Amino acid sequence: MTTQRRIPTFAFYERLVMRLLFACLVWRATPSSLIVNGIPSPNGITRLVDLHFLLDPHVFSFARIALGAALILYVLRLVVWLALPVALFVNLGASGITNSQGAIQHAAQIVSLILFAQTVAHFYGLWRRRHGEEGAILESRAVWWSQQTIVAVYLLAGITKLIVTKGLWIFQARWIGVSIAKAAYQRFYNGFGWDDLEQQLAVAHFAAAHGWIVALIAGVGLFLELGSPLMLVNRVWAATLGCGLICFHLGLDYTMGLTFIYNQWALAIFMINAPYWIVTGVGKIWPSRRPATAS
Amino acid sequence: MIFKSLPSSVLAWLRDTPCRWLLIMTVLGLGLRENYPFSHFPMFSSFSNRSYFIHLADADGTALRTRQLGLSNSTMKKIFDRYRRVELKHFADAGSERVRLAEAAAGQSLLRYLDGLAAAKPAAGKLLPGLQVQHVKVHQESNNLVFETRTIARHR
Repeated sequence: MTTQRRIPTFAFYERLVMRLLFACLVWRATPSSLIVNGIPSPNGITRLVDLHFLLDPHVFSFARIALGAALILYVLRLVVWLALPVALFVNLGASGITNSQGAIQHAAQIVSLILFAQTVAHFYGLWRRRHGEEGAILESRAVWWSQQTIVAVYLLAGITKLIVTKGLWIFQARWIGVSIAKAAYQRFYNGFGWDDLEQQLAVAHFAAAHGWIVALIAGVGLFLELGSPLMLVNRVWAATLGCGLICFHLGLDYTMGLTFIYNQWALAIFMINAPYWIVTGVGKIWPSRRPATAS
Repeated sequence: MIFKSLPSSVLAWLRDTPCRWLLIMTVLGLGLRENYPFSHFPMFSSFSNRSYFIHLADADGTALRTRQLGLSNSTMKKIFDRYRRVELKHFADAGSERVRLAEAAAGQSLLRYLDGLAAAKPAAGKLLPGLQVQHVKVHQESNNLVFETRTIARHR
């Protein structure tokens, strides 16, 4: 089986919309300012590279401009070999510093990982091209690896739950009310109102009183995480499970105030991929306009 | 016979699978754990019938929004947890007072960290005098949630 047949292909309009939306996501997910107290607890990239120079507000402003320019070039597919590493460095640098304060946040991690995957996919593709691979596969591989990265994020979360609890996660979930109450108060002390707190505390008390019902619902979430590799089977599985995971996030947002908004957008962009379904739907209504896309 | 050919079959599958990147990312996540951007995503990977959170209050004990100091409440709690882990080792021989002493010391370390933040966010500096760190224990007792609050540190 050749590489071309193994990597799903994506039409030009799909890749363009994905690049545009993902560039916006990178811009939003990269910290716009660094309100930190140095780098007291180096983590990840800050262990490898001394990034104290980024703490200088002038240097950081320049880095943000470089990020903006790199993302424009990325969307336009111009000097991608430069644009992707620059965007990756600024994103990892700024996020690395904010994650080196003694607290690891997982909200924007998926964006950094996809950016990392696309950068590696691009350079791997350039290397493969030198060995005779068809040039068109380069961009599709970036999307394909982005999809695999999203799956890896959910699969890892599921595997970790089983490892940490020795397979008993669903049984422990009957105590989820404690976590919901804690999250509710933490959100409240961030500046949210009494209404939000009361609503979430009501959910927490319900969960405490009906632990096994909540454990059953949590089991569905675990099933979605462990079943996430099915999203790589084809577009229908990707869109269906992508919608399922977004509903899962919306449920978490309602009960615990955990939005994971970047995860939701990553699923929408790379898994649900609405432009494909719109164009395919239009093509079914007016067959002559049906685009010649691949799998 | 089946077992004999297993390693070569696995290797052949690894060579041909179109999902090699998924395998690489999964192995990297599990191996490197919390090293940004890699992670094994441990959030909510286990639950207990007891937990705690912290929040800030002014000198009169009125609760403050953590965002006023430029960070989220969960980030502040994780920073506090890091200090707490260090202090628990410090007070390893303190017997039954170990947790109380470690949390008091971690609370003071957190206030010093917030002092440093004020340099990057001057408006936050006005909130610091008399600032209190309050610790709220949440636990589940026979299908009910119980909350216990105490002050563990004050800004001097």
